[in-house]
Amino acid sequence: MSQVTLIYGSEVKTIPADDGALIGDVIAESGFPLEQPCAGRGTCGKCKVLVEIGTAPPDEIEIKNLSRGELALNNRLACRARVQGETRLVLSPIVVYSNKIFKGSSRYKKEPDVPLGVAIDLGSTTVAAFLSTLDDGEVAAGGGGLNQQTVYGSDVISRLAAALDDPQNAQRLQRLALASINQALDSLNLSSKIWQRIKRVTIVGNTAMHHLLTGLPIEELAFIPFQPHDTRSIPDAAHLMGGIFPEGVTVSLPPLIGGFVGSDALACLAYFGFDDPPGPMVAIDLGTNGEVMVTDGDRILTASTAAGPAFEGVNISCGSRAVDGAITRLEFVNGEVQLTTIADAPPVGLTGSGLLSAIAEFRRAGIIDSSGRIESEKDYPGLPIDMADGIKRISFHTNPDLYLTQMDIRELQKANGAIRAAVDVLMSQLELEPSDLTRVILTGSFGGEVDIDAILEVGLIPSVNRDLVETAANGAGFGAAIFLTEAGFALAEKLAEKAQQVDLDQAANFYDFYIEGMKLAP
Amino acid sequence: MSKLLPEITALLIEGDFRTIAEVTRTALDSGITAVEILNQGLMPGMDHIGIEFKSGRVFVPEVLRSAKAMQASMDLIRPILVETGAELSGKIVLGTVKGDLHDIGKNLVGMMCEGAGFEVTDLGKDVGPQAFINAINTIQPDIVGMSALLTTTMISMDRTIQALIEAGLRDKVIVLVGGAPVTQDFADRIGADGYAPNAAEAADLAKKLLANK
Repeated sequence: MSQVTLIYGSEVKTIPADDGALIGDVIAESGFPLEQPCAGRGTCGKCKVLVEIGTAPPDEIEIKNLSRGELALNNRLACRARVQGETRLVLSPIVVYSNKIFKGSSRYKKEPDVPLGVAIDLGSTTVAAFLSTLDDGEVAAGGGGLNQQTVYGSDVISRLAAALDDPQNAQRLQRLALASINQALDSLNLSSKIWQRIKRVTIVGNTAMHHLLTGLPIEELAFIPFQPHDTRSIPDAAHLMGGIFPEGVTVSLPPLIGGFVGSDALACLAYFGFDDPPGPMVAIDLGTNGEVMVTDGDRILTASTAAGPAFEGVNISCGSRAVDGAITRLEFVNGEVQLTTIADAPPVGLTGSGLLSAIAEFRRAGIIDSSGRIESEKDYPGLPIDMADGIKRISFHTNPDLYLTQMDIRELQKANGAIRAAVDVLMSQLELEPSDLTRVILTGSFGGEVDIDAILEVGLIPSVNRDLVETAANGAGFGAAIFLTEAGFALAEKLAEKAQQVDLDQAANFYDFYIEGMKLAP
Repeated sequence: MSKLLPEITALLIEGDFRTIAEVTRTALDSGITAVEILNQGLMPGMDHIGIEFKSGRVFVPEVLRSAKAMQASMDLIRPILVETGAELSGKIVLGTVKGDLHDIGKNLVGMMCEGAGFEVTDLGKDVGPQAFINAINTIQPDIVGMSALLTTTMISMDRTIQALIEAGLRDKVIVLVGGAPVTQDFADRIGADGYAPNAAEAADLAKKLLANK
């Protein structure tokens, strides 16, 4: 008998097993989640685990179904790997599916001599990889998957806390980040021929992601003064990558800006042309964390703000992640509620976009006032308003599980206030008025597909002409692709020097802007 | 005369800090006592705001407006309350714990507790164990409230309670904890006396635990 220790975030279980027992069977016995769609034939790769110690060497089927990078990290298939001696392994969250998220030019296929690069956006929720042609800097394809560090919490602070709690957790978080990068790369389906052409890799991420990946000390980041240990670029970071990239590939990490504003924000600055702006402009990377960037045409100020999970549909009574049937839009058409759902499936809940869209539409109809309160006097046809557990709610579908409560609106108001306050603080420090702005860009997993009319209606951004506002998917990833060349990397250094980070908690007017920003009004 | 007290209550709920000051003055001039204004004018108003806040019918901006109105009235009656030695509900010392700078939630708790008739001393943010100990020694509060908004700074609550035990002060005060990452389970684990998920419930809990003391 050998002891098998299974680590799933902060949950750790040790159970005895015979040498030769299938890891998958041991996991099933432990009660931890394990998905095996191919029923253990070793073909689907969904049951990957990270082995720390123990287990018999991989058989042919495993070697065939694991990528070079995965084998380097000692990723194994639970349906094939067998216990041998004391064994310790780290489990991944169950949803590790990855998919293509962008398709560009296929020139790289036709011209086999063009050198290639891969830009990686290591987000706290999603990790995306972009294949790019190095001669012209064009992004050819992109794919992404879930950041597997979420087993230690969806917010970065929980992950920092876990890493501080135990140095082994810090190592596990590092390996989970690398495993997530592998997963994102996997979605690109790169052949070994393509891999031979890949010369450079850049990785961008917020400060917490960067420090957890590189193993830098995080004490100063997790507590006051909430600052990075080191903001400098790491031009040659291959030795920190656990061998997931082939020999000879140059892996570079661009510099950080400061505080929680990392190289992902820096990449946005590059992609949106903050080095040579047409005039005053604002860019907001809206995901789990909100990064706000403002220039007056010369100076660049940045800040990170905790928007909370409302934009992810979390803490919302009928909130949903982006699954089939998740509502992305609610509108009145000829006086009736019309819902847009993912894959046109029957509605199951509200995504962050759906929540924002619903609240903006109810605001326009006068069902919600600018303080966020549901006005029960105005009963809109087909939208019954009632009380449940002392809390008012609006039902917007015949499915009784689909409703918006007063508390859901309050959650959005908090997120709204946090983002708007960050924009207002930076604009006030640059002495900018909304009328000065020439361009407002929203990017990030949420910002990239947000309904512009809705964000103007609820005042998430300052009141500007609708035509000046644009959304852009993958700002950080595309910016990271710019950093793949030497000239691009030099631009990163230049922008990092120029961009200043503002600590919002030190800004005297943050509190007033935050309270004011909770208002649901342009 | 009796009409003035409900008017003060209504003005507090509306958050009309200018008019409430005028009406408070008129009430004092007409012979209504400071204690009556507090107990029958202001406290019912904050109580109402607390109930509305719990159901989400009013939100942070409205609570702050009402708290400002309460302050405008309190500024006029506080000197009289002190002079006449009126009994308040109890004393509370509040602070955001060491390493943490978030204070909006803690400020709301302070306002709600003041509205419930407590004398509130706010130690501010990034408050270390020794600062809590000093405040307990000088102010002699009934209740100590600690706030933390980060998973990484929650540990400071544990450390503060340990420091109170070492200083022999733990049994002298009721310890309440709160903040987004804090749970009842965490409160139990670190040996706090109570946890509340929001400012209004924190004030309710303070009243309840003090009554049972």
